[in-house]
Amino acid sequence: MMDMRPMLYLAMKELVANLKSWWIVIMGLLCALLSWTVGSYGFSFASGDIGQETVLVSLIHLQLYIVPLLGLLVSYDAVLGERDSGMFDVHLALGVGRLSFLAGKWIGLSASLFIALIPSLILQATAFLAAGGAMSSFFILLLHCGLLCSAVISIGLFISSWSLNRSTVVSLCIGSWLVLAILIDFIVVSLLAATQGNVPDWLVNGMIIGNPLGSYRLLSYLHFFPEQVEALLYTRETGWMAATSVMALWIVAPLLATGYRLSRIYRPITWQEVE
Amino acid sequence: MTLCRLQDIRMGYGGEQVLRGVDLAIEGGTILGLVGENGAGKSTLLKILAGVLRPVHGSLVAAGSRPRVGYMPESSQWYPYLSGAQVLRYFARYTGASKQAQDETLERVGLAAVRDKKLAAYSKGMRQKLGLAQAILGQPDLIVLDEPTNGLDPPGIIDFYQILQERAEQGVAIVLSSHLLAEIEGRTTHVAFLRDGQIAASGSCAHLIQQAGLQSRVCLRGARRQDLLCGLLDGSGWQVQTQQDGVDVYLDRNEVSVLLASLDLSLLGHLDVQVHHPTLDDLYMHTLAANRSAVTPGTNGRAKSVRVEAG
Repeated sequence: MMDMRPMLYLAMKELVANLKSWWIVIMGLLCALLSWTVGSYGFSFASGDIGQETVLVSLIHLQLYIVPLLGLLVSYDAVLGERDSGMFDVHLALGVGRLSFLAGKWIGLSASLFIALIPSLILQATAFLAAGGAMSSFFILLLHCGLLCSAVISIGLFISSWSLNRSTVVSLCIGSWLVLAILIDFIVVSLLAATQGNVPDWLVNGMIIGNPLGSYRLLSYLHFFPEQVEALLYTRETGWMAATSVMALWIVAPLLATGYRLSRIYRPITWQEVE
Repeated sequence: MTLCRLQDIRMGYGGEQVLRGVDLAIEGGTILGLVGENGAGKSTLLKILAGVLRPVHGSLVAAGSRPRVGYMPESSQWYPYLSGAQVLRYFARYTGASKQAQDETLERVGLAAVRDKKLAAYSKGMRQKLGLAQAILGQPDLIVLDEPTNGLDPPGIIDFYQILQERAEQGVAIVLSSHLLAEIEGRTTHVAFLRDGQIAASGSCAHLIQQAGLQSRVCLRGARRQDLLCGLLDGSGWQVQTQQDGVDVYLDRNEVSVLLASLDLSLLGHLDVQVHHPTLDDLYMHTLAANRSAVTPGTNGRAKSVRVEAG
């Protein structure tokens, strides 16, 4: 049976390292400030009372932007940094398996990201409850946020493991955030506008749901605004299945690719024991 | 006693063969210096030995159970946000080393005074010491060190090898790589020269020098009567080269004392004697140029100069 302790030691080390990072603390506090602003006024700067739905949509969209950004900041150096510093080698020499290493990193980074978001989430919860939302609904939002955190960390680990230097990894992370958070939506809207809606459904759906941010948005909308989403999709079940599968895929596939990458670079020797 | 053996290790990167069949036995209680040119594959070989890399061919055979390995990579950066004590505590979790062992190790490598300082404030030498502390923590059977003295000051280097000596006396096998032949000479019990992806020579320094036929050179200068000096050396069986102001005698290291004892100073008056023993530099150059016939022994050797006078 796999020894879980090395994985937990690594996860704890990652957690401590990230929570000691000024960059991550500052970004977490900036996110909290944004959450307070958006939670209080909404994205539309509507005057007067803003309803629960406006706050909810605002919070979902806020997380769409800040979670990937913070997640990539937390994870971009996770594998490359350990390789460059020789620490990955030291871990392997001490008998820590590649999968334990990867799993420990993933757990530690996901937890770091979630903890860094806590001030922001508290302010979001306050705004949401003040707008008349139920605590149970907010927990659903938290659950979806947790899934998004996991997917983003997987992507960050993937980029970090396949990059050869820091400038490449930083460029790839910024590029990924731009594509996932902004460009895909922009392209979909542009396509629809340019063709006056004559775009195949599979292409639009694929682009909207096929990325982790889209599947997070769909999961949240399906939970909080099922009727509106149903009008766009064939059935609610199809949407649930698609969004959940895509999210699961974005968590698992980058991790598998990272594991494959590490196995290509580092394959510990097997000792032959002779009496 | 042989701790482990590397057998026909072959390794390459991107189609380029770095190691082409390395065979090497690692003995317990020895300090083996791995020497080779840049890109010779020293780091790759050490990573294989540390269990970090798997070669494309060959095996690592342990006599008995798999040895516990302590490994210090080249230019290790460690974690700048942790203190020295925290780094050791973290790695001690994997080796099971006690708090007392951690404290003693920090003390032994000379980092006790800065144990709570963040690594970001450590000098390169301090980080190297921490690397050694990590590698020796947890009582490993085999310590693998990749260019470990880079950045250490002279007292640090002396202390470093003393620590290795202590471990070797406890039966631990130590393998380290270095570019500085003068540094490892006399401090490692064995050397292995890596050339063209293979071990060109390995063994104890004295044995390798003897095997290579490298001789000591004794320079005798300032004799009152050079003809008498040459006459004394005639028929000795040693190779004698006459110089303008004296003679050079080539002989085995253990014969130097015999030569010095045979010099009749009552006839010669006084003599300036310089003894050049073959060094690791000579041995390395000899090994590299093994296919060439002309190797001048003792040319790079450190000289021991004495003045011998009659009466």
